[in-house]
Amino acid sequence: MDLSKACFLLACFLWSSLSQAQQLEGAFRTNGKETRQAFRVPQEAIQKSSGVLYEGRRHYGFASLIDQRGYFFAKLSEYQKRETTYLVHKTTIYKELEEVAEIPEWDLILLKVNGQDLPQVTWSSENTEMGKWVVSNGATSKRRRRIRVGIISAKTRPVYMKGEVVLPFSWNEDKEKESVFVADNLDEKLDVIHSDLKEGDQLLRVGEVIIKDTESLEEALLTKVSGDSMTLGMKRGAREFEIEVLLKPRKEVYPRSGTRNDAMSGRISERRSGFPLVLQHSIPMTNRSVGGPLCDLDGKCVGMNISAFSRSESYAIPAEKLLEIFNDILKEPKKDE
Amino acid sequence: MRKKLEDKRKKENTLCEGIPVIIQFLVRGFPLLNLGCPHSFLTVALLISCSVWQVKAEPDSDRRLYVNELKAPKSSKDLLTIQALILSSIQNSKLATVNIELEAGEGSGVIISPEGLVMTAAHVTTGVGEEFKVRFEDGSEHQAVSLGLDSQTDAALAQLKGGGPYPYVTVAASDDLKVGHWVYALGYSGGFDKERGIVARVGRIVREAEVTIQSDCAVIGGDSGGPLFNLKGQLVGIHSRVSSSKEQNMHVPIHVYKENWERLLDSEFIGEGPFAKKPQPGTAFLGVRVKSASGKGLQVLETWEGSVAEKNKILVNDIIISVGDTEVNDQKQLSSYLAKKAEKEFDEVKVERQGETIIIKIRYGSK
Repeated sequence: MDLSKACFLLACFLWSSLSQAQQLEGAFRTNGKETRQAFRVPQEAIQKSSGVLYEGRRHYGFASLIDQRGYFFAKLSEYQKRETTYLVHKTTIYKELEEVAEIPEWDLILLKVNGQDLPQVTWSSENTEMGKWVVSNGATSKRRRRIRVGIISAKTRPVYMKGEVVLPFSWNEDKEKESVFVADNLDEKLDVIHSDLKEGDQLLRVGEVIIKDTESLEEALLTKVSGDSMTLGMKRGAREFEIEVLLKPRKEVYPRSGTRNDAMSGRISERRSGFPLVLQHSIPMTNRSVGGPLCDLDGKCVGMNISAFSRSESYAIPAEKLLEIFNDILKEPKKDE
Repeated sequence: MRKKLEDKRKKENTLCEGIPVIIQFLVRGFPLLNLGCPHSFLTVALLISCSVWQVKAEPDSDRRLYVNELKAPKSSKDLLTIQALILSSIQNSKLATVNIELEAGEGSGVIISPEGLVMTAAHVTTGVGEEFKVRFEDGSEHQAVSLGLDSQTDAALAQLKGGGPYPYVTVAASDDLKVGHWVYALGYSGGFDKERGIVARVGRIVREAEVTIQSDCAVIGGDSGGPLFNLKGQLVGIHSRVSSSKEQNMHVPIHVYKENWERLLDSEFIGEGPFAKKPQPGTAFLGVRVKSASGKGLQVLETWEGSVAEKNKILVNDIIISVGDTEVNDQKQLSSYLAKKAEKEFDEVKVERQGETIIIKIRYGSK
């Protein structure tokens, strides 16, 4: 080896040592491979209580095991987008899924697989305190569930649909007249049931809420979800009339309307808000990693991931609510009974 | 060898913290008493007070910081230690973390003194002397004004108006942070939301550069200017910017603030960007129409609606004698003086009104 080559290799070695000293290797970062090793207990719980949902060969989300008899909760709006779904639990593939109940308010669907003696999920009854570790699904293979980790990151609360669902046409606010007017009628494209809607029509009411400005319109849609039907009170000249419309996700009506924060958040959930109660945590999630369980350090299930809201905010339905919903469904007599 | 020393140190720490003060006195005190100290009563008192001091000086939280030295946590016990340290300080950290609302948008900041000195980011305050609203997590509102900023590193200070005392956090020593240390981030992600409150994230320091530290705490718009804490609950950085990767979140380290501390306190605009744009000379606007007065000065004929002149109650028929330290007797003098001034700059206008001389403090607007 000549001297120049040796010097070059030495320089490379020194440079590499220096850069390693200033930078933490990926494996040792919060969600790195080595750090995850310490989360063995919750990882086993995640493996035990997660179902993976596939459409064809592509996994599109997770499901949370609720009951040993084969009941799983999944995210309704993601499930509905697929023509066929099969569920993998541990290494067993379940191709027949019974759709037991849909709960649009929570964006949940209860599925039942024909399995016997599935594992028993341990539920947490403790209050989830801000700052406590939580663990959920990360990348997955058919056999093995990887995990991602974070902490409970904000107050448990309802999250409304503010700005998430919109009327299926554009509108303008006239501040002087304290009124809102139809700007552009998009009825054919966007399913306005009543087509008698023209540019310049005044929007008087959405449901029972009197509309004077943007704020009152937002207020009227706060608890609504995409697909809800609303009666609008309209006025054209002296004539007042009513029309029926279906609310739409903002992205569908205004495809380029995402905020700067949305742009830096990657693949977030399409329905990401409008839940009666959520736990918020800091585990970075995508639209394909929701639906599975959220566990604490003891491996107890504290909730089910329901929304990848943004780069820094993820939501889960608290365990207590999940069980309440599940028990209510089982109590209801079946339609054919 | 090193391990032995560490083990010994751990045992010593345990001794200091776990055993009652009186037993510590017996263990530590007897050898000294045996030396035949003549002032035994004084020695006993001294020893008791030393033992008490030692208990305070080596709190449990310091001992638990061993987790920072681990390449990765090894067990649930290590994770619980990190969790316990976060839980022990997060409530106080939250109390001092504020939302900042300016016309341009929202950001975050953190109070570091009972008098209400706030550390935040330059791209949040955007300038010097900016007045804005600050909100605490409970929704209570206070007025604040921006002090100096460093537009090259994104460091900025602000001051809450009103006397306080305000909740505040301790700032860490500049050299107290290393790559691999565990940290947590607080902020108002996406803006103020009273029902949600402040948002927390946990992570590690993943990179250290000259004027930036990087963590894998995923921050987002609205968090800018918010605090990054070490496991002792001490402030180690201020959120600045992110890359598309959720693991690449940049913060301004404390030493950057400390290096320019006096200049920031003196409301200096440091540097030429990119995090804040320095107002350029020639952009100042007063908003008056004037003519030369019969004696000296300029007579105000009209003030523009919404202008600095109108807001500061410069009235029609006032005679402007001087602006800053320059006397003005014709329009050209006023124009050439204003050509050297920038919008948002502070100044004084001396006017005569019905025989009385008045000094009016102004801040220039823009054209």
